[in-house]
Amino acid sequence: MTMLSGCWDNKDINHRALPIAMGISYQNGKYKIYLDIPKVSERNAGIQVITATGDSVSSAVDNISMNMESQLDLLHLKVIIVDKTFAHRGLDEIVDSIIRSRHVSPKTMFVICDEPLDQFFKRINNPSNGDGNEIYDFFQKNSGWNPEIAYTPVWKVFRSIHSYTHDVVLPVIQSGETTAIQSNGSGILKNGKMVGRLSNEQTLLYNVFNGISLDGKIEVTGKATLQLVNSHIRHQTKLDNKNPEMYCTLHLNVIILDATGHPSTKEIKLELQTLLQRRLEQLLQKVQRTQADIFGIGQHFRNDLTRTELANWRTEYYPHVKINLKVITTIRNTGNLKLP
Amino acid sequence: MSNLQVSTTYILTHLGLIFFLYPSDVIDSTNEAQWLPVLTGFVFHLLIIFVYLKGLRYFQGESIVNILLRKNKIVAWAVLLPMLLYLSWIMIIAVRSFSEVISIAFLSNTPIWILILLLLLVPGFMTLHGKIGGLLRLSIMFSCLFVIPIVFVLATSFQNVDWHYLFPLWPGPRALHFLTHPSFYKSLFAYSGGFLLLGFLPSYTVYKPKAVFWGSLVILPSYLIAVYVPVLTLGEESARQLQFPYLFIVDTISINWLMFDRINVFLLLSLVAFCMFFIAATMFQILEIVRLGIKDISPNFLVPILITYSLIICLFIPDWKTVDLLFQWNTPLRLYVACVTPVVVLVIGWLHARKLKRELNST
Amino acid sequence: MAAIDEVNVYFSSYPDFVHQKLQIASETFTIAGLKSLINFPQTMYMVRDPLLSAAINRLELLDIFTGLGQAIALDTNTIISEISDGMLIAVHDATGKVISIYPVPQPNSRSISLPTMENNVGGSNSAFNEDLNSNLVLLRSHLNDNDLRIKTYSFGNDKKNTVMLCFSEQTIDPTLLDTLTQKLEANLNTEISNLKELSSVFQFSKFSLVTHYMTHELPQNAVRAIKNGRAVLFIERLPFAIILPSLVSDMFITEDDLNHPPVFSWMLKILRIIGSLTTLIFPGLYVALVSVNPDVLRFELAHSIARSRLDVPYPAIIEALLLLGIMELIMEAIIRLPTSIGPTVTMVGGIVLGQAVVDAKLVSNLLIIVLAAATIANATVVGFQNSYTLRLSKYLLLILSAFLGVLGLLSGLVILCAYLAGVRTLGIPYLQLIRAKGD
Repeated sequence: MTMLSGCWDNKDINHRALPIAMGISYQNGKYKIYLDIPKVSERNAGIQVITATGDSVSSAVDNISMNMESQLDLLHLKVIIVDKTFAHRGLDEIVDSIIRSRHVSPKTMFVICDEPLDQFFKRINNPSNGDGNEIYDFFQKNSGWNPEIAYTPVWKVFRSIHSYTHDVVLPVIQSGETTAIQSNGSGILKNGKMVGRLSNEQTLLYNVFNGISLDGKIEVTGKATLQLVNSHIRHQTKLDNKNPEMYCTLHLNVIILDATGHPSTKEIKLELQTLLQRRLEQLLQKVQRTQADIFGIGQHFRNDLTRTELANWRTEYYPHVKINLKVITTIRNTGNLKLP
Repeated sequence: MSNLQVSTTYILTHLGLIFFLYPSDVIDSTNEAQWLPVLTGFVFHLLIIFVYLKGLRYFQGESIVNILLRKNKIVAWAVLLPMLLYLSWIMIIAVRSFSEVISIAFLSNTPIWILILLLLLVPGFMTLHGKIGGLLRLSIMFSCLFVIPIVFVLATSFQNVDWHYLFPLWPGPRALHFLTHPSFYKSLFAYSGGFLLLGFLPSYTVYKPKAVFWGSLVILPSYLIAVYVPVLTLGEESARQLQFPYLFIVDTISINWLMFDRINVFLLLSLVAFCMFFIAATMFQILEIVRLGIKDISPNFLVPILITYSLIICLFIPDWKTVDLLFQWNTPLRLYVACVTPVVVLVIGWLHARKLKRELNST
Repeated sequence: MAAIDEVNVYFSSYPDFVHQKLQIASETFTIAGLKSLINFPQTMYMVRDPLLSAAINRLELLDIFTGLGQAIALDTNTIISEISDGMLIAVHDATGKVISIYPVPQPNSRSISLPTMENNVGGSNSAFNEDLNSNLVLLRSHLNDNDLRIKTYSFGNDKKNTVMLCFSEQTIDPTLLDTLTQKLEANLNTEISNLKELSSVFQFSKFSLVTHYMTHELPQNAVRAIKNGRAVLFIERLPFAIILPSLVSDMFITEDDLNHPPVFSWMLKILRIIGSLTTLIFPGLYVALVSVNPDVLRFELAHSIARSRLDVPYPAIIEALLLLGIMELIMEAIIRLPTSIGPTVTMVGGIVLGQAVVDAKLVSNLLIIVLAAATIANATVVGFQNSYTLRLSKYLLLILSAFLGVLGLLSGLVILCAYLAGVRTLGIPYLQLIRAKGD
């Protein structure tokens, strides 16, 4: 038993602090760390936010664990929130150190915060919000997650940093007025640096395009609101002298939620086709300007390009990519009311 | 029954080796079309066990040590001594590297010597208590216990796969470039680690060569999965950055309905069990060579001596880099053992058969 | 007739010794025996009747008399030992001929009845009892087979006991039979009246963690064992069959399964395997997850476990050992307690103590659930000897888990497997399925 307490550092679970979210902000060459630790108490009440500064992330974490009454255990960390300045500066170092240390799970979500982290943590720490796990639940696929929010764990960011053809988007949030957290679309990350923004609707399209089957809502302007039940997408590619072309067929399975002005199903389908085409076009132009291949389009050309050509994908080929989108919509039902 | 036991023993000794270092060696050895080095290695492996088993078939029910020693002593020791050295070397590397893996993966607080000791004591107990019969039976029990977690993890590891990374399938003119890369030869350890054991079994049990070939067919998918899942999930460039690519991928799996957050613990634990089995099998081979070739000392003395020696040597290996270096140095010896042993056994067997035939004709 | 007098003197203080004269026609016979072992009125009738009819028919009385039993020498010691064995001794006074007659015995065991330790759902319900002969009757009626061989050994010099070895010539592994008979015949002088003495005859290790033999009360189990090439031993006055060697499958397979449809019988077998794994792993897993590897758990679960252990003042291993200790005490106490108050104590021990212990913040809620699951699961394996194995080995896993977390749990499991794989009984490996074969 002396061995038990002596040479092993086995601390029981109730003597460990298990933070679920970590905020990292970068100011004047110093990192400031925020740890969001749910309080372990009888009534399950609230969270505790602890901050520290240091020259690097790990030294800041060390500072915290030195001053904590229980052992700090980052293994249950679910969300890492970075502020915009840090995201613009580049996340590659922090991603590398996370992957290296194994103290943080590679499944941890990366999130960009739109407001100063001080303010953010102060506001979500408001006890009237609930039990303090909102930030965790918000990104849980089986509770608060929504298809308008990007879902990007650390390992995907890691992949994008070293990949020729894959970039990612990170969700952008801020503390909300009535809810604890509010989604502000997402940020485009190229080689670990934030280079642009997407709106919530564009994020939904991004998710659909990447083949994540989901149940989001699409508003067809002036005509109807549709509930996505199921979607899948097929890609065909053609490489024509440095001009990559992509033919995509998007199969949508929708339910009509509400309709204004008695549109026919045909009209709705047509409108949906043009709407999605227009949106995709805008989105593509936007990301092409940033040269960030968030759709992983380059992946489809791996067979046509050699490895050295692939290494130049982002600069030489990607800006010329054309996407032809064809939408095949199945309106599964129209609810309790008939449509013409 | 004994055919099945030999098959499972063969599978388990290899499974313990595949998922740790093998993927990163193969990924290092080539930029694309990883199936080429994998299949080349596998064909090499089939070739050596074919020759080896063919040679062993000339002698019914004899251990390889006896086969070699009945002829020329010098030839025998030219084979046995490198074999002994190779086996002890690989045992020490295995113990040291697995203890490091465990320490990285889930016991960062525990002193490394405890893990080394554990990885030596448990296999020591296996060989001492069960002898070879016990090991063979244990292989059946292990496969019953651990097949479910292993298959579950292998299946779920495809969760985040992007099949586009499979392409291009044929890398063009530089296809065989991997043959010049040292990492490829390093990766061959996953094929040559367990085959020697087959030569020690005949004096204890009877098995058909078919059992071994079936066993090796079962492990072929594991070689491919171990290499391809990291590549398909992360792409070659990112996968190359990782020390243990497959373990990392398993860490990225998320399953909502499971009460556990880290699935790779199941995989790791099963693999650690297989590693212990591998180490026990290696210990048994060392014991056999010493007892049949040098002096018949009771295992009750030999096993503790072996454990103490290995522990001391393991403690002298300071870091992962040294382990890697030892691994690299081990390559020529490994190739020598893998190529020379089967051929020598085959030649001796052929001469033996010819002699027998001549005697039969003369009488 | 000095010998008879000596016998009389020897038995003079015995209250149950009967010694009387019997006069048939002109001949006088002396009859002696122990009335505690012999039903005297019926036996006297049995002896007197043929003699009387012989006298009436004027046959040679002496011939009829010798035909009643077995002639033995007129020797004090022989006669004493025959009487002790429960035989009736008759002496023809004129010639001094001594006959040992197999009498009508006093009933000395219960009739064939329900099993007390073994429960079954679908099969036959008559159990072995203390009497060797009725056991043999049961065995023979369940297995009407020409291959059935029965060997009887009389053990002990002073305190005698009979041991019966049954096996099937065709199916038994020859090496098993050889070692078995050799070991038995080499030790005919030792006394065998319990299983410990039997184990020492077979030289089973004193520190063995698995049982080398199974004991069965139900004849169908013994018969199944014989059919599968194992040996069955009966020891006089032990109300069960001893099956040698025991195999790992005895934990999970019972004869009773064969009376269920195959799907359900497979389900039951799988349940027992899950049960044995549960009882082994659960306590260790709790300790490993709580004190060494909480990162393996989902966050929600980790958080709620942390909350349930909030005020528990000592490490998880102490907590688990404490409660496991109490659980073992309860289980042992239930066997000793009369059935009339057993349930009350169980209830007090289980519910009241459990609730109080949680309320007093001595252990966490989850541990109670874990222990209850482990204890219940422990009872799913077949045979109480096997459940002892699991009961003990779970502590190995528990302690290793406290040191090394999930890795310790795994090493414990590996050590246990390696142990089982290495165990042999009379040259037969323990780790086999139905057939007992040497290797």
